[in-house]
Amino acid sequence: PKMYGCILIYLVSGLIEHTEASMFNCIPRKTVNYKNGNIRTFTKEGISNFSTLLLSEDSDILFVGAREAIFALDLKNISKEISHEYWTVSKEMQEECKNKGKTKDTECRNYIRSLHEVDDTKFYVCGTNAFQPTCDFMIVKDGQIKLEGMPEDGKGKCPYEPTQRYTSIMVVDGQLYSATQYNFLGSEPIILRSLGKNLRTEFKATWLNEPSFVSMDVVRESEDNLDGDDDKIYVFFTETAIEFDFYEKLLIPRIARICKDDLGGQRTLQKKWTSFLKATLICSVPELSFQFNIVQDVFVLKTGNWKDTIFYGVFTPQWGKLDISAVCAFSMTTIQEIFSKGYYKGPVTVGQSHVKWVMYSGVVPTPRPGACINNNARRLQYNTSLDLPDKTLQFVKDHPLMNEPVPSINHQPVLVKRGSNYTRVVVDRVTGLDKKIYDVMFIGTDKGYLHKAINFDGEMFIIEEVQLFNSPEPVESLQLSSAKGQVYVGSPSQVVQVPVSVCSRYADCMDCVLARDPYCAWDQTQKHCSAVNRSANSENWIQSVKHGDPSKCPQTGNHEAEKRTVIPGSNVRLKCVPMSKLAVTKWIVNGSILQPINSKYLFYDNGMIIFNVSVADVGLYICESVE
Amino acid sequence: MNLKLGLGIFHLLAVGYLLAEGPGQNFLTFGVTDTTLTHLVVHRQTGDVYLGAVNRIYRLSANLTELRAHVTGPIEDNPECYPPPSVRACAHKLAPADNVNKLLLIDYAQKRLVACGSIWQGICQLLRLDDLFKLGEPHHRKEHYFSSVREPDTMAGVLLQENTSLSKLFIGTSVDGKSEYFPTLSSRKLIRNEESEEMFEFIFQDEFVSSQIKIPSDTLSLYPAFDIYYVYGFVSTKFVYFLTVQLDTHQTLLESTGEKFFTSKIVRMCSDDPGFYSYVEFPIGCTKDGVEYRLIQSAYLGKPGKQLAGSLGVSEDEDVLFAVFSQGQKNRANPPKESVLCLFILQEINTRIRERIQSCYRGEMTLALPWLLNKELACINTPMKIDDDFCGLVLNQPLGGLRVIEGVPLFEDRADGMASVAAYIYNEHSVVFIGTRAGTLKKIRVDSVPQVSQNALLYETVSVMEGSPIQRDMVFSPDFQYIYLLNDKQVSRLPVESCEQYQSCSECLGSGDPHCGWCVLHNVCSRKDECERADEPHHFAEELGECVILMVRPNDLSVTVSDVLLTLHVKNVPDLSPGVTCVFENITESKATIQRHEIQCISPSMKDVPVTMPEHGDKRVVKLYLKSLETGRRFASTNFVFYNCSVLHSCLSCVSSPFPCHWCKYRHICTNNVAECSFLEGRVNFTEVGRELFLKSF
Repeated sequence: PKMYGCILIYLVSGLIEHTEASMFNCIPRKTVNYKNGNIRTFTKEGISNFSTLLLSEDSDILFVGAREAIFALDLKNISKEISHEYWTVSKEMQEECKNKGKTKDTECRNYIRSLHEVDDTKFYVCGTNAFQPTCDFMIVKDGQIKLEGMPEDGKGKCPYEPTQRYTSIMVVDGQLYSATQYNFLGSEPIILRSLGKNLRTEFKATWLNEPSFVSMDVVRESEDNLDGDDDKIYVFFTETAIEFDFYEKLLIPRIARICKDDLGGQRTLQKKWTSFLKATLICSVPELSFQFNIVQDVFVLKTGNWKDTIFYGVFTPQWGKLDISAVCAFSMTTIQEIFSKGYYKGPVTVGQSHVKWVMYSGVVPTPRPGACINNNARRLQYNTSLDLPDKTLQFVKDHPLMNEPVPSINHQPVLVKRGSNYTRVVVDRVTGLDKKIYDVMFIGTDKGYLHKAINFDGEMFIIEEVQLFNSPEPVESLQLSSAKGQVYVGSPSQVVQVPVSVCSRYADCMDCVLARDPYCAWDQTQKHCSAVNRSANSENWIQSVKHGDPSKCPQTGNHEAEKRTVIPGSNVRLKCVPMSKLAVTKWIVNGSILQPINSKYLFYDNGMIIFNVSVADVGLYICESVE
Repeated sequence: MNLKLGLGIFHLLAVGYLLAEGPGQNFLTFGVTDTTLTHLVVHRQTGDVYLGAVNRIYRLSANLTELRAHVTGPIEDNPECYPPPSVRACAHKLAPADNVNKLLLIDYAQKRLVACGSIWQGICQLLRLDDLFKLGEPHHRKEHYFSSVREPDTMAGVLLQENTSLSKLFIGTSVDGKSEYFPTLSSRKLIRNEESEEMFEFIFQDEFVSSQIKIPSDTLSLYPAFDIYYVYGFVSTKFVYFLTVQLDTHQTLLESTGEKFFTSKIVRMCSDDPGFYSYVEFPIGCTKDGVEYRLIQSAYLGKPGKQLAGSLGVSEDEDVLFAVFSQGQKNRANPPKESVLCLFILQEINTRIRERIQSCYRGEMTLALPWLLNKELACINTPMKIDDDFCGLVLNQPLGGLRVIEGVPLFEDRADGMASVAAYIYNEHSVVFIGTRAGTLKKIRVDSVPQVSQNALLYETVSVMEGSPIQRDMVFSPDFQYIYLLNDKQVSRLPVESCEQYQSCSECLGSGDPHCGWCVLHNVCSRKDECERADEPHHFAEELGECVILMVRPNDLSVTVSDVLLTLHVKNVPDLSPGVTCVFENITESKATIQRHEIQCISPSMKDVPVTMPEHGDKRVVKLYLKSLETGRRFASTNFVFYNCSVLHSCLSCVSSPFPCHWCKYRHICTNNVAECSFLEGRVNFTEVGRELFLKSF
């Protein structure tokens, strides 16, 4: 047996219209169908759009925002509902919404899109509320949830449109950061801080141009920071590029960031971010100049030191009918370098009706535009953003885009998959028995699969794909509980809970080791593939995540041959199910490899058929699976 | 009868006033030398005149006596200082800056003046009406800064009283690119208490919705010169309207050095719409003889006179808008002299707006407001029924009109450059007053919508201040007897009519001035209300055919005769029973007897018969007047001839004279009295042998 990873095989076609210039041939080692997925589900009669998930690991509750309902579910078994609260739309509001041209029975409902924990007992909830976004506080006591019933305007905190991409986070100080469209038409984007010192983005196409917000998170950069820098909120979105001249709308994935302690400007940028800077994310296969220019989701993998933070993004291309997706990873250091030291882009008028965006090579004012208030600024007596000089603020207002794009780590995607549209990603950092760390990606697809994948120094490997639902539907939210070892999935019709790994699914040592699943190892004493128990004596465990080398496994050669008696002239089916889709099976009859050339044999995935059996066919048939 | 003849006396009393000189300038003025006047309002009850100026606000009496002057500047300032130096120390160098008054409104409810200037980012003062005492000058909050633009006529305001303690102030202003500091359009609270924290706050404001419109940064990035200049604001029913001039982004290229094009817009909002969801904007203009006029200079909301209303087919209660446009789309700052006065029926504008909203709510086309939206947003189809009163929803707004709303051209001027307009109704007539850049006031009667290429009647042009442009603010006195006009150095009060300048009934009634009629017994051209008993028959002539006609029989007499009974026939006269006399110019006056339609007088007695001097020739024409004993005024006249045959020394001249002269053949004298030819010497009269005798005599 040999290890099998995914390598990129690409054929460069001379014809441009063949966007399938590349073939990404990474297939999941195993496909686990719905029945075998160890899946727990939560559904509720009449309730749909379980799009918002909030983990509360302290209280062991999974909060779920759905259409006109909020649920508190048992984190260990989400099929167990602890409590629920309904938040419906009145008939009058529905009618009003209908009068605004929206569909009464779908759009004119209250889709809970935002669920945030303020403290142990208090939560903040926002819903689309028949195109009048509204928020309310929710009290949680002994697992029982109850809205305060004091709704407040949710504009800018929650989208109007039930299906519009949107993201928000609540930072420990209780302030809500949201990125959405704040008007009914969905034409005015905003990154807003509310519930405290309200601040927002300038309404300007150079800041945000028809963005689709996918994700945001806070990185605690103030911790152990020698520069006295501030915590930052990173926002990920796809927008229409303004810096390129293109015959059609060119979408472009961006990372933007703002400083947590920003207070806006005194004159210029009053009540607006003075620290809004953005940069392009590059997720491409450079050999092909193939760009994945739509970012679908980003997961921020935070580790001990904020400097080691990695941003995992799911990307798809704008053009081409081909279903193809990629995951790219971006490092904190690269991002920080670009934002804190890089050049800016600036507009230059060319001719009479044309603006071109080029690297700004003029004088950049001090303090550096877009920088947080750090020791440097404080030395110059700029203690808050309100003190910043107009020149700096005017500059950042006019130059929000960095000149340099952010390249992905190693300038390569960590995963490329043909035939799937990836929608969401979460990443778990797992330490293998070899003490090495492995970032295990869980990626949801639009057809309801969850891919579990790892990149080993450039080698892409999909451990398995798990079918999450009975019938295909997109994965709309993903939450990971490392502690519980569970992934929670929200979809239009249900919530699903799936374990990060089911080691028992691996049949034998060979299968267990070849799976390269860092969660599992072969327990030689129990002769069982089990979840790695870190306290146990690892002497007795076999795992080879990095190399997928099963050589330590005991030989499994001596299978008992099964006797089959057949009637001549009939057709015989010999079953042989390989444990991996990466495996190649071959049939050996009486010591020689059977060639599937003549029409006597039909090989198929799970075995072969011998047609019109005769005495000449008698012998020992060995099925060998090589991986 | 109180004729306005005493104007000159007032002049003399008005110490320090400029006396308007020159022919026909019987109007009052108030002049300034050390400042420039920018705005003018007239108190609708007291008739007091308030002037906005550079560094000054004035209160004048109705007859332009200065009652009070309030100094508003210069003030230490720097336009870069935001907030102003009064609030926070500013790093920029301060220097005394002129405070240009940009908005002057009377807040009748609180008896104060709202005067907005250019310094300190455009703050406003609240001044007590009677002594201009400064009641308040809010300047420490963002909402107090309206715009630091110094151009005086770029701001317009509309004041709406909500209740006894709160009024709404709609303000539109140019912002000179500072959209971050100033909204271009907003509605504010005008609080009774000048010290109130809420003064000038937006009527409504939350994080996302507020009673204001800002020019988007994107628009300014693309067109750094983009701005909106507010020309006029008014209220009609539940709507507030503004007329503006703004950069035409369709036609102006991005390059800042290129030529700029402008367009005029009419903006409409519901007055009760804190979120400004009812904002609709249409391009507005006028086309005459195929030429486009798109630069609005001034406008005035009024009602149509009965005649105009009839011609338009609308009720007299309908609001109409008179507007003056300059030709083309260029030169906002220095508009072409070619200008046109146009008429809009407000209801038609509202209908156009309603149709546009309805079409948008059917999901047709886009919102079409590039300067405000910077992108094409599709109209959304909804089941809403939109009526005239619709005040907008969160969708399908703000909305722009696609086609220009065109007015009806009434009057064109290619020489003077029309700059301001005001109108009112006199009797059944719409009278439009136009101030020009040449310093003249034009009076136009609009009784119907003229045919294409035909003008409304310009009946009078008054030179107010030669060569000094008349500014936009033009206001009537509360009794509509006068109109106040503003030049940069002078305010003038002109009577709306000068009927007295017309000396005869035919001049008076032929002038076209709808104010003027002939006051028969006073023998003057005047307004009807200035003519006693004008309502009684034939006391006041309003049409040329009603002028008094006087005929006398005989209409000539020889100087040799006297005390002849004359019969006078008079038409179009009122009841003369109080008595009349016949006046032979300054020769004699004799009592007349009135018998039904005939008046009888005796010709002068021999001693009074006028002497005919040789220079008079054979006749002297004398005016025969009828003088009313009631008014003591001569009110009708006709020519009466005294002839003198005796001065004719040849037979031919004698007999060919139009008078009944006879030539005494032998005595060689010409006489009117046949009997004088004695001895039966015979006489020649014209009819008998004129030519024969002529030949014989040589």
